Amino acid sequence: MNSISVRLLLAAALLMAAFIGVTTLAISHAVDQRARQAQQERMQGQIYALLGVTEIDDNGNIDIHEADLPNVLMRQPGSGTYAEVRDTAEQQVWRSPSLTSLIPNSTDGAIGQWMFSKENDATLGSIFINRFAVEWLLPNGTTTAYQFVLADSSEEFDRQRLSFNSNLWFAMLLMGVLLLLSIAVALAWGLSPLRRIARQLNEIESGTRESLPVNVPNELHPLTSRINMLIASERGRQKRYRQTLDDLAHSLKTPLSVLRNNDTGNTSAAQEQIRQADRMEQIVSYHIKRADAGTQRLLTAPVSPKGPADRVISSLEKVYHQRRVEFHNNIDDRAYVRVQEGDLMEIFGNLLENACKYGAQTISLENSKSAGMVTLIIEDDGPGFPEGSQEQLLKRGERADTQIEGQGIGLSITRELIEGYGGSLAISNKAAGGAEITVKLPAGS
Amino acid sequence: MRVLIVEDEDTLRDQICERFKEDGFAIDATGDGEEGLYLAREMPVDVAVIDLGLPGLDGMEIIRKVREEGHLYPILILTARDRWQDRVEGLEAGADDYLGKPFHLEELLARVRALLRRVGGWAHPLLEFDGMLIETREQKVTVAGEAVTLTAYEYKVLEYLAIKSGEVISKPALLDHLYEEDTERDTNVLEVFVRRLRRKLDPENKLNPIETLRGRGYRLALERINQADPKADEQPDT
Repeated sequence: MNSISVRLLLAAALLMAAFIGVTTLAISHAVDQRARQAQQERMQGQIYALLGVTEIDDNGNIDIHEADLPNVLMRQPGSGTYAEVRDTAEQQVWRSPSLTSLIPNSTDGAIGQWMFSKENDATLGSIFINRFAVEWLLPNGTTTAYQFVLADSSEEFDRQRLSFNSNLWFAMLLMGVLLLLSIAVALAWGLSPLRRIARQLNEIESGTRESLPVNVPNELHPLTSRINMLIASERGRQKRYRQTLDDLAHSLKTPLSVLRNNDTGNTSAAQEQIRQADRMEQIVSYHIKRADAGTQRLLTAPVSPKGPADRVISSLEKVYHQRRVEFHNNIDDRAYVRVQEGDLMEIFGNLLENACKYGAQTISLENSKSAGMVTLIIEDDGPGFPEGSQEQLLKRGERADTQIEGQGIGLSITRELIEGYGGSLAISNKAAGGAEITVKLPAGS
Repeated sequence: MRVLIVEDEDTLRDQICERFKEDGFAIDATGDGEEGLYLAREMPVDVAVIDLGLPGLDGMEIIRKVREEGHLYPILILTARDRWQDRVEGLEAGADDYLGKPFHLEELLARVRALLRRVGGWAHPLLEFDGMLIETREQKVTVAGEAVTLTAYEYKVLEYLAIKSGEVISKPALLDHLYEEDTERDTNVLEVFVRRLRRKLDPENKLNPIETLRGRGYRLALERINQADPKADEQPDT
């Protein structure tokens, strides 16, 4: 239900069903009425004709010559067209040769009134009946009343109606299906620019496209141009932000280097100056790293952590060349996370360098995937984390200005970085010795 | 040893140069990227220290060009940007080590020395030969268990030959790597130094540590003693 096309198609289908149902029923009903009326008029004509050939003697006996019957079918037994005449006592006083029994009786109807109906009879089957009561002036001057009844099998009529109705329904349903199909095609065509935009946004995310194209339908133009502006301004902002951070880092740290290495003798004032310079450096580093962590969240393409891990590993192998640390990168390159490549390097860099620094000889990286998260496990055979220090290590830097002392801001920065992406970082010591670091990151498609 | 220093902040560059000079390095230094590239291409550099945030030409570009042209000497990057991505890209461009600003001069020196030793295949700050031991941190030389007193210049010659032990070093090359551009250079002076060095190291003419290959140069001919445990030299010298 969560699709515009499906919604529109469903609504169109419901409307179409209602429209086709009502229309078909109305047409069918009108045609039925018309056919009954024609049938009734035809039967009236035959009754008039019958009246025309009826002779009644003074005693009121009815005599109709067979040869005079207005319809040959009235002469053939069981032909489907039957006629009878009843007297005031409702006794059949004449019947056509086609009739061998009685036509269902009805006493309603005053003199000169037509009574038309469709009935079911055990012997005659489904029949139309037209009754007409007349008053007859006998030659002796008295009057008597007769009811002329004509019955006509409705078999043919019903068959035609059925055939007409099924044709009608078939045609209407076919039309409905064709209409729905054309609506679906029109929808696909009409919504295709939206689908295209969604695809192009994916391409922007994965870095194969710079911006959305401008040749879109007029209705979408405001949307795409705003998105383009947003992307451009976000990119510009990120770039400026990075540059500002770089400039800040450069312009603060270079003088700090000078200060720290100033040869001011070994007085306590000089010592204090160097201590303060170190402190400033740590605070500056911490805050710049923190500000830098995850500045590029918008439009983050899914990336496999294996590549960035490999690059960091070859860098560490170069820098810690003489250590001959063994790395086993077993991360599946089909496991994707929605984290910037630079931030992945930051995460791996901080965690793996820590392991190298604290004396690991073998470091292995594994991954597993579950419920929208990719779990990375980094294990080493170093000394592990000092007992009881885990919480402190991760927490350090919450109040960076007062708490940073010495090394170890790497872990808390890394944690902040990971949590900024909605992930988590846990550290522990393995029972067999060595550290185990578990990083959970949001999975990408 | 000849070190190239490319750092745009004058005071910091002066500090670095001063410290390296104290340690006996010959120095080429500049604060400009273009000039840095020129020096990196033209000078007989043993090791380079390059800042990434340079005016003119970016440090990363210098490294890339130098490596493209086939120069193999070790390069250490200095940078205030301590993002791992920058670090990785710098190392991928061809740098060998990385030091974030601010840093201690002693650490920079130690890292540069470690890089130089690595080129010669030495893992320790101790250069150990059959019959001779050079402690590069203290610049101390011991022959057959007895300390030998050398002048700064004699030590420089010996250390250079020792790090590249087994290789033949021509006299002009040796001068190139030990002297700065503007210094008076004379192979005769070098020969005198080498003769004095031989006498100090091998007064009884038994060891013959420095060979002269006529027309080609000098070679330290003592056998290296393999350093079995490379782990002893982690973050060295600091």
